[in-house]
Amino acid sequence: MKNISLGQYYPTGSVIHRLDGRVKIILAVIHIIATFLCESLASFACLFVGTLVLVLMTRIPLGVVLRSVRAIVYILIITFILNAFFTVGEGEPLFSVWIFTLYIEGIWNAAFMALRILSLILGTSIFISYTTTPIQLTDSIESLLSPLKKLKLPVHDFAMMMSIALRFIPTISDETDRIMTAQKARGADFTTGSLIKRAKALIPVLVPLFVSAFRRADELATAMECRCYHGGEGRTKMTVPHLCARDIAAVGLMLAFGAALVLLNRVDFLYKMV
Amino acid sequence: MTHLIETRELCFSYDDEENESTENKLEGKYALCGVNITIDKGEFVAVVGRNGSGKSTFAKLLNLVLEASSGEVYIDGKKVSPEMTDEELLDLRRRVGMVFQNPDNQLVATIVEEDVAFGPENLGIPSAEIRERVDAALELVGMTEYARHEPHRLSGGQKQRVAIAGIIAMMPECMIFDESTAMLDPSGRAEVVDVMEKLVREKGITVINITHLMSEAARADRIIVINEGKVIGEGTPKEIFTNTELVRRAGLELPQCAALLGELRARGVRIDGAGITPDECADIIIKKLQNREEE
Ligand SMILES: Nc1ncnc2c1ncn2[C@@H]1O[C@H](COP(=O)(O)OP(=O)(O)OP(=O)(O)O)[C@@H](O)[C@H]1O
Ligand SMILES: [Mg+2]
Repeated sequence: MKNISLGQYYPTGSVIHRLDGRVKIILAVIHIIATFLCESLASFACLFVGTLVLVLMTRIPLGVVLRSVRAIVYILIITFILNAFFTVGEGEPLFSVWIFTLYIEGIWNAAFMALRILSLILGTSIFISYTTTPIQLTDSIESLLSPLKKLKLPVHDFAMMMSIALRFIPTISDETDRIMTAQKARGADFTTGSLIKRAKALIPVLVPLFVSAFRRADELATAMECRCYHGGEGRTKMTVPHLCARDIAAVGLMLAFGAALVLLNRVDFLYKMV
Repeated sequence: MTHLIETRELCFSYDDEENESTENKLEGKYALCGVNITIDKGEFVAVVGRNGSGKSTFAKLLNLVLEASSGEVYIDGKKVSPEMTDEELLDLRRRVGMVFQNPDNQLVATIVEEDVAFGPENLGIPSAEIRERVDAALELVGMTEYARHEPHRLSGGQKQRVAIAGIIAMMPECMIFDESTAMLDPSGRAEVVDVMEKLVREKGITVINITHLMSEAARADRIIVINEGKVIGEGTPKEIFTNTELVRRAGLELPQCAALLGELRARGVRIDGAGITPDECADIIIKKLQNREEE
């Protein structure tokens, strides 16, 4: 059987891994807001150092973390260039060629924007993708959204769908492999030819895949019914997540970190975004 | 005494409109027709019959996954009908658990113990008790060490045992296995049948095993033979497997040992008694050989 890891979860058992899933979502949100509140060099420096400390705390090898950064390198470069040339500064431009004029403020702004994006990616990686299992994530989202149940929004059903999807990804992917092998044995060719030809070659894979997925859905529904599934009403949970001291402390620290960043905006050293 | 399961003139047809006129019964439009069966608490029953004979249909009628077209089903003396309240329906499904053929299509959660907890969670059992039940159920099927594993990394037999644990955790009185061993290799099959036997003998749970494997059916206390929607025979494995006419009519294959004895008999060796398991057959043949030496 193929070894598929769902998402990028990277177990190390660190303090951050052990935090409650809901708390991690809240921490990620605070981190995002804090990132956008940063304006001065001092607060950006502090944000950068703080985020780096968090990365180290997850005990995930830096190489793995950098992989998620590598995916956005182009976005970073484009943001940097656009910001650098589109900022109009007050003093003399550094140089000016044709329509491109570069001010010193442009470089600062560009660097800050790139830092913001970097910090957004690192923040969600630290708190969500690398340290929270997909199932913990869906459970946490259900729990956080549960007040919406009062508005008759189908929060439970949505979470259930998500977790069934997660459960069946490996199963269906195995099946895709099997069907592709079977079609290859009948002479199908998925690797050569034009894009359209290759897309066409996938049709004989998709059709049986869909048929089988629907049959699975039917069987699964019967099995769930036989196991007394009747929606979210009156349902209990085996593991009721409890917030412990660690979780409360983490939220407190993160809020303090955000507040510190805002205060550091007052320090007018070298440059401040406008 | 009330039986755990009792059916009276149970009929079922997959196309609804046509079941009004009684002629259809004769035309064979019914997947199941006129089934009268009683099963008692703690029995180990096997249901056999060829493909399309109506075994799965019968099983699904017992816990109201399907609604009977006519006739009645009683579980513990209580009539099963679509008019039941939601609570009664949940209680019925709790009492009569079902394990299906494909283990992949009955596991819901991404972690073994979460999956086992699914049933009890649906029943609204308090968290602490669910924990106990899940641990006990996993222990019973011998999957405790896999509690935190992902189901898709387990073998077929292990997955099927997890599915069984998921039903056990609901504390059923009766468990129906609908060809639950059909997709497993011999060792996986043995694992699952061993669990079935354990359930009957140690937990007193009634087990109904729907199967195509006669060696498996031979391990039950009683065999019910279904053909074309009708019960055509019922009895202990010995009674069924010595009734060659019945076995042929139902399109079954004798367990190999019983077939061997039959063949010996056909070739003129006088064999008294019937044997189903390899053990019994060996005994019978040894006795015969010894008699011959004495002569
Ligand atoms: N969903 C359905 N819709 C219409 N007809 C069906 C449906 N399911 C089964 N049948 C028909 O009902 C009859 C009994 O089917 P059933 O599935 O109960 O047989 P079975 O004994 O379980 O067979 P198998 O050994 O193949 O599992 C068959 O003739 C079948 O064609
Ligand atoms: Mg069947």
